[in-house]
Amino acid sequence: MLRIAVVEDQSIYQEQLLDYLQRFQKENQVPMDVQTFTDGDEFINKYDAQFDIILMDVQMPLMDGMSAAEEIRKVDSKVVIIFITNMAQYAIKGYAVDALDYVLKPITYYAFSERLNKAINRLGKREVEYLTIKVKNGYTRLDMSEIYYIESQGHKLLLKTKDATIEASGAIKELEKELNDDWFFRIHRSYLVNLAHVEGVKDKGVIVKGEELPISRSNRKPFMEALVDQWDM
Amino acid sequence: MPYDLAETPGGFYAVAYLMSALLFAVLNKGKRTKIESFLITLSFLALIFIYMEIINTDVHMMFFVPSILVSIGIIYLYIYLMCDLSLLSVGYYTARAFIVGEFIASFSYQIYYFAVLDLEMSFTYFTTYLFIFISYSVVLAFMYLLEKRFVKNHSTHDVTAREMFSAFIIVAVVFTMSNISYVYQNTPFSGSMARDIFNIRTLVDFGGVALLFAYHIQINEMNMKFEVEKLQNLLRLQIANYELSEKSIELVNQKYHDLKHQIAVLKQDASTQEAVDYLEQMEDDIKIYEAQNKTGNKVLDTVLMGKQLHCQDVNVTLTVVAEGKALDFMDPVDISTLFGNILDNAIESVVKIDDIEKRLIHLTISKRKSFLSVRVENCYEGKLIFNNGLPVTTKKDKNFHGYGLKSIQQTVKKYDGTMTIKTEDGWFELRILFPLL
Repeated sequence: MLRIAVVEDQSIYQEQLLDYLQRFQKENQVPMDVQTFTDGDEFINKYDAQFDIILMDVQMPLMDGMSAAEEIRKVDSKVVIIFITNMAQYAIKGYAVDALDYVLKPITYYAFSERLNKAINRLGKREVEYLTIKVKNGYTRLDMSEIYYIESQGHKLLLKTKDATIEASGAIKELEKELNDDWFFRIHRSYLVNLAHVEGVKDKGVIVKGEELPISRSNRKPFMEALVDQWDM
Repeated sequence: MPYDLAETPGGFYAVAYLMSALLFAVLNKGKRTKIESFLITLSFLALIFIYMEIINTDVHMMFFVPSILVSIGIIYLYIYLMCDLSLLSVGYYTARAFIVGEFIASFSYQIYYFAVLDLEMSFTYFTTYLFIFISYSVVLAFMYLLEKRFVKNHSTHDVTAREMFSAFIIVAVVFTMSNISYVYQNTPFSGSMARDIFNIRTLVDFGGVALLFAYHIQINEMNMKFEVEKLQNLLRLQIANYELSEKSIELVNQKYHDLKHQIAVLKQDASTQEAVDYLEQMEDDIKIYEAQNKTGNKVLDTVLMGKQLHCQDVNVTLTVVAEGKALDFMDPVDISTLFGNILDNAIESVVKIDDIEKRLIHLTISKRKSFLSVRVENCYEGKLIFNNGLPVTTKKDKNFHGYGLKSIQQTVKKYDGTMTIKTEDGWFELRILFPLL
């Protein structure tokens, strides 16, 4: 079930959006739970990270969409925000609240459904995947997204996560096969990094959570390409 | 010994022609699947082998030239069927393949002759062809490496008629010189001993191969220079364009402010509600001209404004999310050409769509950690053909076309970025990532 919020003060547009959402449900067989709000102020007061997608008008009388989005981002970094506006110049700053999509009024069904489709695709790829590895006294299970990078040292593997460095045995090559290859990239003979945690790239190094790891020259281009692909999600 | 040693058997030539034609087919852009290529090559091998070894043995001197022309025709047909090249280019590579074929055949035969006569090795039919195959492969592999090493952009341009004829003239001269001893023993260039004849032939053929190779490198370099010049011209044109739109946008802004002021004055004096409503409506209408794009980068603002106006003109909906500040690391000229080209490409693609609702372009420029991500998405219709990861234009004007993307690529490279293209569900996506560290 997709939870969608429509935040729009003008009733014509509100009705149109609801209409389009219904059509979209039918055409794509996506069950939705839609709630409507008429102002950013009202929406923020009731907000509790309970939505997957927010369709938000930019211009509203009490609290405009941009300010509302800023408030939302303080508590929810994951929800997808799509602005609805008739003034493109207001939505151009959407990057500040990680709202890289918007739909222009008058809204056409085609443009609307395409943007919505993209948003849904992005949501679909957020599943949690686990990795089971062999450690000193048995096995342990890790959420893949929480691994920053993996370093191979002789016969052991060091898995760097947020809280700890986990020592495991095995070959990096074998581990590479088990990991989701959309998320992880082998930058070097002995380093495998989680693309989601990459912060920057230098001439000969990749910055992962503040640490610089070596990358070979020939891996740089495929690495950047993998990064772009991963960020699509 | 299966052959009369003084005459080079037709089979030597048959395999040589085909293998060198194969070399040039591999070096150029193919248009066949692996299985198709394999089948074509196999049938041509059979064809040319039957022609040279069976039909063409013991031809009368009178038919010598026509029979060579038939061989050239077969090579031409083969390259034509295998590669995605213009007819003139096919001719050009046929000339090169022919001379390379002549060279490897005479070179290998000379070694074979030496092996049989002086080393007293004996060959069966099978080992003879094994020898041929191995020695040809060695020489051709060497040539392949040379071409790869020295020719930077293979087959990116179409050969002109002049270039093709030059190649054929070289071939004609080389071929005549190398074979003259077979026809006339009494010319200053003829030899009378078998070994002399072989030496002359191999050396002259080698000269021909070298000459054509040098010629090829030269053509290639000229083309590269020409391409650079074209890109520079395009750049100049775009800068001039940019300056022009900068001026007109300034003018629009000025007019907008004047108009806004005038409306405000009129509103104060308006006596009826109707008049006030009307003036307010007017205020709303002109709002779209209020410095539409305030991204934080003036150059980008100007480019976007110019393209936005153009889009309105051709019924394209362009939406933009842009963090202009993040572009500070880039040279203004690069900003204007990069985004000008990106949008021009997208616009050119969407205006081909009949349904106006689908003429959508969405551009995002955003900083993400220590990267700048640029992404343009547009709907497209029809089939895209890719070459080296870049879509090939369907426009007739091949010479001008594609420079937009080349220019984008150059800018991306300048800032050490990566560009990728993705097509999915009727959307074309160009994505660029620049490292900011």
